[in-house]
Amino acid sequence: MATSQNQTLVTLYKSLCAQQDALSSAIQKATDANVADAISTENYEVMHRIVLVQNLLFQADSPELQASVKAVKDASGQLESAIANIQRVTDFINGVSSYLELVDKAIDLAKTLAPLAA
Amino acid sequence: MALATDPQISKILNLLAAEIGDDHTNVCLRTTIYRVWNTEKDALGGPFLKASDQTGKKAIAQQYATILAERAAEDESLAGLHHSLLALADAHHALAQGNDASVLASLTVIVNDLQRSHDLYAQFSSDLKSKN
Repeated sequence: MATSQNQTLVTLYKSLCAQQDALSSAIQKATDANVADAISTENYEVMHRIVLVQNLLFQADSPELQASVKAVKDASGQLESAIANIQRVTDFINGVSSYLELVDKAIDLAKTLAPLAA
Repeated sequence: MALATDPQISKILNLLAAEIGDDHTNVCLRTTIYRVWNTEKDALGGPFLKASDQTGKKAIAQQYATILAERAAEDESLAGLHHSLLALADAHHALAQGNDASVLASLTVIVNDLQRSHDLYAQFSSDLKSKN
């Protein structure tokens, strides 16, 4: 059993949580039901990744994983812009998709790493 | 036997407790589960805006309140489990030290936590039945 969580995956988890908070806030402000539904769909996508990362928190780290998570962090600013321009729904969905594509790469990489030793 | 295994048992139980977490904001299971409920709550935003009359909006507001209650109940259950794991580590350590009074005190904490979780579940189930 691992002695502590993988800090690179902790960073990924926190990035996903920050995006989920932004999506949640956008839903609260939405005045168009279809926009609210579109944000909610993406919110479920982000939540799914939070659960996946939760299950991987005790995997070993690697330089490749660190680089992959750095790419996610770099992309999070673009997603924040997409959320800020939420009325342009297509741009918003594309923004979330691009961000989650990078997240999925990091998750797939983490799955291949060994669990941390006790 | 208890003395020999005490460091490892304590470590395992403390790690399990840490994984569950002592709140729902740090990186832990409680936070993940809390956020699952938040996602369900947020999903009501669209239906609420679509509801054309007060009756429809009220029904969604009730769903919202139910989700908040379920979120709180599950979080409290996990808090109880976290507490019980730490108490179990204490009980094992006391057993290893031959301290019967401390073993009993720690086991009492666990039993009380389990009873609280059971009562919470029973109350929540009853509340749900009365609403439906």
